[in-house]
Amino acid sequence: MKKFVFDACSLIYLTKIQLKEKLPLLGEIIVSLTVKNELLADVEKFREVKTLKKNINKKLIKENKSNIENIFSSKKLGKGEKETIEICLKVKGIPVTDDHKALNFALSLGLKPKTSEVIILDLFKENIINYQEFKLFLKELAVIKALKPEILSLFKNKAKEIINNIKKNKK
Amino acid sequence: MTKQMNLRLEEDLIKEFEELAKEENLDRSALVRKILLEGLQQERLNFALQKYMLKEISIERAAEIAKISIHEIILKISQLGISSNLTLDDFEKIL
Repeated sequence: MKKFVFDACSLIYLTKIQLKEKLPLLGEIIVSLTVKNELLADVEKFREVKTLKKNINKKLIKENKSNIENIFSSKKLGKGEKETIEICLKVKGIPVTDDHKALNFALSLGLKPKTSEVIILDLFKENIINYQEFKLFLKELAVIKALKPEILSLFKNKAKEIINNIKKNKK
Repeated sequence: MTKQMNLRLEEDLIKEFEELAKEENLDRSALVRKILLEGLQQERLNFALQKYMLKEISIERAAEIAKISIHEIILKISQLGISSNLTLDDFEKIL
């Protein structure tokens, strides 16, 4: 089973667009203690915190159990992002981050990070959501993240490639 | 615990503080403290967002600098219409 280690912002975005329930169908969802605390902050102010809390209690989002040694000292990343990457190195996990700095740091260490957009595409690829749902979730994410049109087009084209491959394989 | 900090200000500015303090029914020092605190929070946020937009720091680090939760910074970024700092090049590397 794949292990997805999420940082806080990706999980918040996917919770905001109400896609989080489908994530365990892709693999195990792991967060570090710092990320868990970040997710649960401001419970009175943000509706999605309650949803996240419920999912943590139900163990749909699991807290990392491996020892964190704080091996990274970068002042450009947050504590949760550094822990997320450290866990991935330890458990051979897939980091999920929606941040440029964190993503490139993970890449420099040989990890294969994903973003919320890629997770939506994976859900479509794995037939967990259909094309209409894919378009809807991507559209909602684009609004929240103020995604640039070229990024939106890239993902729409990737989804079309998947559809074309399915058609080819059927022939 | 409080500590004294001496600050030289323009006479006109002091007059403005006094006028507003009177309007708000506050003593002058209390008003200055309140404005300093609000200004400091705003400056932290502005600095953090600027660094984030320049791709010098991550979103979580920006929240740490601004001393607000990650939920709060996501909301601020969204309200200000700031685009995600991920680039087309980033996506091409991971797809």
